Amino acid sequence: MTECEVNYTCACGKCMPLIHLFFCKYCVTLRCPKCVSHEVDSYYCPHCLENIPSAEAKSMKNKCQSCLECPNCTNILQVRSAQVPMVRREAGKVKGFGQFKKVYYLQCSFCFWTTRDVNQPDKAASNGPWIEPQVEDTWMIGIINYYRHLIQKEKVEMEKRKRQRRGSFLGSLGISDKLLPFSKLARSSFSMNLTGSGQFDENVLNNFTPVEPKEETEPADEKYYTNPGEPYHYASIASRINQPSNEVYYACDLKPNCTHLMVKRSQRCRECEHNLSKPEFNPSSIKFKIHQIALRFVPRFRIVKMASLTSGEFSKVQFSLTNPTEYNLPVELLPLPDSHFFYSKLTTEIQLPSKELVLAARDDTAQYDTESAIQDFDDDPEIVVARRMNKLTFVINVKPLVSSGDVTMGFQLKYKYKAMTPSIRPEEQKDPEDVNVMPCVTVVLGSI
Amino acid sequence: MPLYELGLGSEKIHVIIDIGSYHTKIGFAGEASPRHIIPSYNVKRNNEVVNICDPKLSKSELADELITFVHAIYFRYLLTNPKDRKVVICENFLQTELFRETLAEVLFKQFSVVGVMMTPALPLSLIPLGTPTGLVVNVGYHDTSVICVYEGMIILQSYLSVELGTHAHLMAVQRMISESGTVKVGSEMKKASELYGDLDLSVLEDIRARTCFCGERPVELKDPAFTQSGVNTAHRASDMSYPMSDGYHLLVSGKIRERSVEVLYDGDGEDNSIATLVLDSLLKCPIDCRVELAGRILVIGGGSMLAGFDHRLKQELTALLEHPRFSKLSAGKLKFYKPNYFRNTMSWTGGAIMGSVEHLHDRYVSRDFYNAKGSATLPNWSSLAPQPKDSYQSTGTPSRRSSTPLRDFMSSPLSSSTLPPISNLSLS
Amino acid sequence: MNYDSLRIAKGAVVCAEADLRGDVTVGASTIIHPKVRIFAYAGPIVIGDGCLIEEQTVIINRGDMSDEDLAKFMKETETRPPQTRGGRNAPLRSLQVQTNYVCGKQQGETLHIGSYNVFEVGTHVESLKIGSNNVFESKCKLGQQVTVGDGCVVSVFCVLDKEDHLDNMTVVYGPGNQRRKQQDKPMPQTQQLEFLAKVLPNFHNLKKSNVSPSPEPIGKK
Repeated sequence: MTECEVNYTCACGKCMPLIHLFFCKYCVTLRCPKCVSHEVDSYYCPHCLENIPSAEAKSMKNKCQSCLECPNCTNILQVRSAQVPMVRREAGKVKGFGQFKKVYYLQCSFCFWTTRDVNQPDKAASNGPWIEPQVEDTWMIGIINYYRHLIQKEKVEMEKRKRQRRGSFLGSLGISDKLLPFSKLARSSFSMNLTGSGQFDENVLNNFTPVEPKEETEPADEKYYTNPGEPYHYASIASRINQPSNEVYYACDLKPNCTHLMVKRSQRCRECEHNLSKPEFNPSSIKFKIHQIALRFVPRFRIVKMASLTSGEFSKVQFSLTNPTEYNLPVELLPLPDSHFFYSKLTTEIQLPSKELVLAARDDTAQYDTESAIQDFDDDPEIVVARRMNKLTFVINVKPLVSSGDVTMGFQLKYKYKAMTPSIRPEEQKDPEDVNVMPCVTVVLGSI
Repeated sequence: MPLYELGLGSEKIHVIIDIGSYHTKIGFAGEASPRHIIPSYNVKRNNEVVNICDPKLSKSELADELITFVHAIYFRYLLTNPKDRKVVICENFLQTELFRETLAEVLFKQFSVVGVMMTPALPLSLIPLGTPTGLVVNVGYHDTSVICVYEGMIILQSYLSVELGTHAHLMAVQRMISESGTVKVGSEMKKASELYGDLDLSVLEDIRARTCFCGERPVELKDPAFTQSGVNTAHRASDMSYPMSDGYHLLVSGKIRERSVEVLYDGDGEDNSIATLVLDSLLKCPIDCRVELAGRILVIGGGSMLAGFDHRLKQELTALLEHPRFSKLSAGKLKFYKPNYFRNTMSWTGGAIMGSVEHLHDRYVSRDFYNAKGSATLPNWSSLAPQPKDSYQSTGTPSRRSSTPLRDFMSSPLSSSTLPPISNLSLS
Repeated sequence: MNYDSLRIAKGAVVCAEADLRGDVTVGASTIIHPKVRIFAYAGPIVIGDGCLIEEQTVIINRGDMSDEDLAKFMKETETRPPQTRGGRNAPLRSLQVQTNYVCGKQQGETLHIGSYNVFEVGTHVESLKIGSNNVFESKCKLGQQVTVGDGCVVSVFCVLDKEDHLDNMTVVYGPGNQRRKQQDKPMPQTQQLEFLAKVLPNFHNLKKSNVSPSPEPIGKK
């Protein structure tokens, strides 16, 4: 049994439910999530819901410094305190125990992993520091520098020899020059570039010593043979790959992880580059500064009541249209254009309402306001079943043309969208222009 | 723009993506380890798992999956805008044309990245070592592959791969458990195969990661032939008991722990094992660089993270050198690199170093160029085969003197003195 | 045979709305919340000192009661809290008429629970041997064939129903009942116990204690 679904067609031809789509006011068309470009808007920690400025987020490698995760089960670690006696020492020997002092350590409240498990010393303050500062990787810096000079040198030598073949280290990258985009312009700027900064330090190249291979290899630790311990003494694959900079075999080498940040995204129309959606800055807010989702601009078509469908016979299926706009909206239903990809998949003959259907304006206060004037829309009782606020329920006669399989129908909505032309000066604000919007709707009514 | 965002070339730090068949490594250029290692699959709403490297995907399906995957890379993991950064893709050698083209299309059209450099992952792993020569053995999830790089040049015909990797090992563990695995139920022992049947892959993976290791080559094994029958089951590792989720304890015998990995040395039934692969690859190299290459073996890949893996490989290679099949090899002393970064991310780290060297900007295919010329512009291994010269000239590349394209790889201004004779290197 | 052998040590706080049936012994300063069900069906139950037993916990010495019977029994006892008379111990005999499963009739194996254990809301315990200083988190379930050492933690919603022994300091957690060892015992909830001992009597009727504490309380540090 196929599920019933109502899909709207995006400008790119993709069909998806209306709730996933955006509506670009400026292009006056639907846009699906793949037709908009996403951008990182703001960073926040999903645990403490703290907003992190983007510069800080980058320098902290997208980690929240105050929330720590259990390396074992990725739950949030909590600070625990304990009283331990101070050890009095004299000449390196334990002489006795003094007063109690308060120490802090981290514990996972789910799997009870603690920093004591991995022999991380207790801290005197509740705020740590729990994370050891990263040691600068001097080898990495050195080797990048080495390659910089090396490649520079190769380029210079290549220029010198006026050879047109290039290779060596560049070859090891798997790209042969001739396959690369070398326009004449690019090449001339490339050689200019070389004459400008074509300097390399022979010393850097000479002083560099690469890692040397060794004849002896290490066999597996004797511990693996004789005293393997329990499986939980070894770190699982998941905890290993959670710490790419600290890969471990033994569980006792794991360290607490910092919580990875998350981002709020904004969406932008690819065509006109206008923002379609921009969330509010505050991480705990669910509101938007700009929020052009299709649901707020396009009448929503829904199935209300199915009729039992039999092949070759018309039956009345009830549908509804909901008007999201604040003005009365006349809507026309037109047959699906035969250029639409779904046209060949249609399996029904439908009798669309010949008259325009007028949808009442959305009025958020209407449901509290009992005395509001009831508008008369002069509905055809044959077609319109019910009308409640901005929702109109009506009937379409559907005749399936197949004896089995999916029953599908499609049509084109046509309504007028009041497009506001944006203007900087309010006095120049023009009256809204009426633009026809004609989104295609495809419906799967289930199977017979 | 914050100061640290500025590389020397006033460009934003590049994004490095190493797509493996099981795990994908992602991060930023100039860093020693990737920020994240994520599984190379998408989980759909209905919990269906789609591996993005699945060759069965059609172009449009693949594009959809890649969009979802790359979107997650940027907005869930790296948290950065794709638009203004270049991307370095460390790719599998035998990646299908479809995959590369689709990936480039997704990156350029969907994410509008500034530039893309696609480079084969295996040779990149030598870069963090600072050596231009080496024999790289990559033990991946599905296959193990070998390639030789000599003085910065990839010896293309030495590329070999065999379908032996972590997955084969997991299957061996499964086989051994269903053959002889026992479960302690109270005081009696029951057969694991009766209780559980085939175990979940995730459980097998956990058993492998937590209990298995690579034992030494069994000494009794006199015949170095690579047949199943020749495998000695002698072991001295002690048993471990692995708690299953239902509370029973599966007894992982010492034999499974020490000898399940044997499948990788045992061969795939066609006389190919990891060890023969290495030597076969050496055989395809010119005779005068074999000694050097055999003395610079680097084992990488997640599958090689088992303790004692390269030790065993060395023992295995030493034994195989006696075999008549490799009598003509004259490989000299075997030496292994001890990687200075983690084995499973060596290629990524190589990519990260290359991504931070700013003099390589001519190696990237730029967005504008791609948009103007289309996917045909992507440099490619298969297009290395001889082609009519004018096809290059039409894209504005300089004409060449050499007749065989492979020679372009070999022309090394730094090491022309140590160049091997070209005659040995022609493509068959 | 005397079914009313409920022994509550001095200092223990047992709410009257808790349903204790059969031969149950409660140690000193143990707190038993309302709606706790402790059924010594097939044999006696002995609970040590300083245990914290939270709401809706079920501790049952099950014996050979079948799963079906147990489910029926649980259902019957779920909705009928024992009647109390002005805070006095309700006569236990009157309670037992409510079900067909008479607690305390058989003299089977004793269910031993050590000291300073915490049973969080909704735990179900059938295990016959439980050491001290354990924490059983909400909704976890221990089958009859499980024995528990000291300082263990069974995390939320973990179901252990196979024959099993939890060594000292074992932690069972997660959907796959993953296990690991911890280094320190879970802290005894002394503060919480003291607080509850003060507060609970203000809001609940209590069952009177009828046994003076043993001179050397078990499991005390």
